[in-house]
Parts: sequence; structure tokens; C-alpha cells
Amino acid sequence: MTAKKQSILSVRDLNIWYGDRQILGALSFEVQQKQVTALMGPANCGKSTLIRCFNRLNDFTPNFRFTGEILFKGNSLYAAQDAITVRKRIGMVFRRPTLFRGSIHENVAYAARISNVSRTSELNAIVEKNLRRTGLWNEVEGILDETPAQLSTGQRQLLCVARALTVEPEVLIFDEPCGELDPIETVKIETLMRELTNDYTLIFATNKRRQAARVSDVAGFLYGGELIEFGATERIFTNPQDSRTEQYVAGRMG
Amino acid sequence: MQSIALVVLGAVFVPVWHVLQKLYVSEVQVSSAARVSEPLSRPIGDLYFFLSISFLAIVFAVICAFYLEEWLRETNWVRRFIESLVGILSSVPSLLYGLLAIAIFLPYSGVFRTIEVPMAAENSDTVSLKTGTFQEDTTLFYIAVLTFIFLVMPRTIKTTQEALGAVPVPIREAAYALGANQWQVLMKHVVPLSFPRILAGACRAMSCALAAAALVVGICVWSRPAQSGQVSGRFMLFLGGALLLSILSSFLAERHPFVSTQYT
Repeated sequence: MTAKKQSILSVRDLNIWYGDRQILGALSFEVQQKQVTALMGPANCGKSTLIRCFNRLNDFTPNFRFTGEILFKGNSLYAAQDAITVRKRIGMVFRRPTLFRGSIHENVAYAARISNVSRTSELNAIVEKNLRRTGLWNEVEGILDETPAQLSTGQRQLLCVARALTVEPEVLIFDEPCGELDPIETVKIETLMRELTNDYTLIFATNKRRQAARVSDVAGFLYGGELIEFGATERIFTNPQDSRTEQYVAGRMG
Repeated sequence: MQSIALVVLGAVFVPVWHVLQKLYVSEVQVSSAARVSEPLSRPIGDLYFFLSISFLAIVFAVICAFYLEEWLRETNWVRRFIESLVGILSSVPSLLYGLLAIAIFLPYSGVFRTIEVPMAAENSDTVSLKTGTFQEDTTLFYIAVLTFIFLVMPRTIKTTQEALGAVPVPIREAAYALGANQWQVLMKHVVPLSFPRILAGACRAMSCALAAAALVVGICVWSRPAQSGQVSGRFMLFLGGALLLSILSSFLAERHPFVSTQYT
């Protein structure tokens, strides 16, 4: 955290509307490389809308429009690149672990298959590598060809992380990854997230302030469509500048 | 369970088929004297005609529904217009289609005139309206085709759209987030997940069309004094087909792959 970090994503004066309703207003911040950036805030404050902009999943939302710029390594996410390339470089893990039909192996090998990797040995190597990275390999090694139905929710979420890692993204977005998990499984995911910062940049939306405090290096507090405060997690939690942040951090609000 | 039910269904269908064939043979014997030029398999020909037309209509309707649901936004006026049209057409009872076809198109078709000719008196079934006479009268052929298309297409479009809308959004999003393009998402997720429902909807639409045809045939047969009391083979064939298809569709509708997968 002390080393000089490079900015990978920068948001400049971003405004988002659904139809005539403004969801987010005048956001500007930078996401540093190989750090966990947490966006916290109460439900319905626009966290998901914001992070879904980073891999352009909002393209499918009717009436979605925005002004401002999101730069990924200096290039505009929306103007300079097509959505599929963006999504391969900026992966995403959702709140609910959504797995596809088919076996565990097929689920993890999905992204490789759709990018025309078809040799079995290559696919096996990809599956093993990514399952090892998430620490799931030992648990599922024997049941790779079975459906994920027998896995617990936490294991499924880890499987989703492994699947998201197979595209070798540079940024990985977590949209409340522990929203449906129990405390032990949550710890596993949080530990994994800390380990992943060695190779990836993580953006992390959560409505649990303690989780943000545990996991993140940089935190932002979103409230009512505004970015109230953004800075190093330690400073946000120990010395908040805004009274609303202070209330939120202290647990008196949200 | 399903396989057992299908076996039972098959066991029931075989004797019915035999009865149909007997009826059909007797009918041919009655009519063969008058119609030497067209000796055999008029009901079967009707069925082929019916199947091919409705197959084309269904394929076109499914493509249409995919286009509406996957490529056009909900706010698009073309989509809204077609959807309201489909809504109106698909809520018309299928019997009404048959009756309307008779009421509107029969005066133009010249069938009344043919019936008055003594030789055509054996031509008892009005499905000749749909097929028997179409060789003689092209307008009639087009009318029958149009009736079928108007009956089958809106229903298929509607059920297909419902099936596509029922594919869970998280599955689509998860696939998109892994860098899949629209075609890959369609072919790998949307089509496999919605296929049973689409098929069920198509079967139901065909069943409606067959039932309407059977009703029209039945009305026309029984209203003719020379043939009253006698069941037409064609009527039985259509009725049997309608029943079979509706049962098939209920089987297919039971299979919801995405409702039963507990890990979505």
C-alpha cells in the first residue's frame, strides 16, 4: 500500500440517468492498480449502477444514459472500445452465484470455450489453475464432471470467482459478493479478495461498512446518488471529513 | 414418469389409428365411385398440407419473436405495435377463426356452386375448403393458408416471447460478463433454456388450429342430411391430432429447466 500506485480506472464527472430520474450525480474518482477499492453505502444508493458501468452491463438497461467519462488506462470505456473487449478485461462477480447448466468443469471452462479454446489439455489446465487460485481445487477435484448442485452457496460463489478469473481480467468487480453467504464463507471470500490484489485490481460494492473496513485499501461512501467522500480506508474510518460519512461509519446511519 | 405416460399415450393411439383407417377406407369406398381421379389419402394429404403450412408459420413466428424480444427495445414502436396486434389476434378463440373463414370467404370461393353440381355432392367435408379444392381454386387455397397463418402465428409469437422473457436475467448477465457476445448467449443459454416452452407453445397453437379445422369439418358434415350421423374420418383425424398436440404441449410445459435448477 505504501508503494506508488498507478491509476487504472478514472471516473470523471459521471452523471447517470434512468429515463428522467437521475441516479448518480457528478462522480469523480480514481481507482488505483492492485488495490481493493470499496464503494459502500446503504441500499439503493447507486452502487450497483455505478459498478455495472465499468463493464458496460448497463448497456442492456433500457433508458440508461450518462454524461461524463470513464477512462480505462487512459482510453474511454464507451467510445474507444467495444463492449465485449471491455468485459474481457474487466470481469465481474455478482451477488447471487449464478452458474450455468452443465458440470463444474464446463462452468469454469466457459469463457475459454467461447473464445475458441477447444483442446482438452488446455481447458483442463485453465480449470485447474483457476480453481487452485480460489482454493476450491481440493474440494472439487473429484467431482469436476458433476453439476454444481451439490456445492454450498459459498463454494458456488468461489466457483463464480474462478470462472471470472479465466478471462484473465485486469480489473475484477465484486457486487456484494457476500450478500447471501454465512460468516465463515464470507471470511473465505474476503481472504481470497486480499490474495487477489497481488495480481488484480478489485472494485468492491458492499453495504456492510465493517466488511469494507476489513478488505479495502481505498473506500468511497455513496449516499443518495452522490459520492460523499473518497479516500484511504483508514482515514475514512478514523477521521471522516463529512458528517454524513461520520454517521455512516459510526453506524448511526444506513 | 414422462416415458410411461408417452407409452400409455402410444398404446391408446394405436387402436384409434386403426379405427381411423377403417373409417377412412369406408369413406373412400363411398366416394371412390365419384372421384376416380383422386383415389387415396385425402385426409392424409390434408394433414400434410396442414403440417407443412403450420410448420412454416411457426418457424416464421419464432424468428419474429426472437427478433422482437432480443433485438428491439421495449420502447420501440415497431415492437409495441406488433405486440398489441399479436395480443388482439391471439385472444380470438380458434373456433371463431374457422367460422369467420367460412362466413367471409365462402361466398367468394365458388364452393357453393361446386356443391350444387351433382358430382361434387360427395365432396362432403368443407376442409376441401382448406385443401380438397385448392387445386381447383387458388384463391381458396390462399384463404385457407391465410386463416392458418393468422391462427397459428400470433399464438406462437406470444408464447415464444413469454418463454424468452422467462430466461433468468442473471444467467444472461453472467454470460455477458464473461465476454460472450449476443449470439453466444442466445445459442448457449437462451435457446436451450427456453426451447421446451417454445415447443409447447407451438404445439398448443397447432392444436388450436387443428381443433378449429375439426370443428368446421364437423359442422359441415353434420349439417348435410345425406351424411348426418356419420363421422367423418377427416374430422376424427383432426380431432385426434388436436388432442395429441395439446397433451404433448402440456408435457413440454411441465419441463421448466430454469425453475428446477436450484443453483441459479
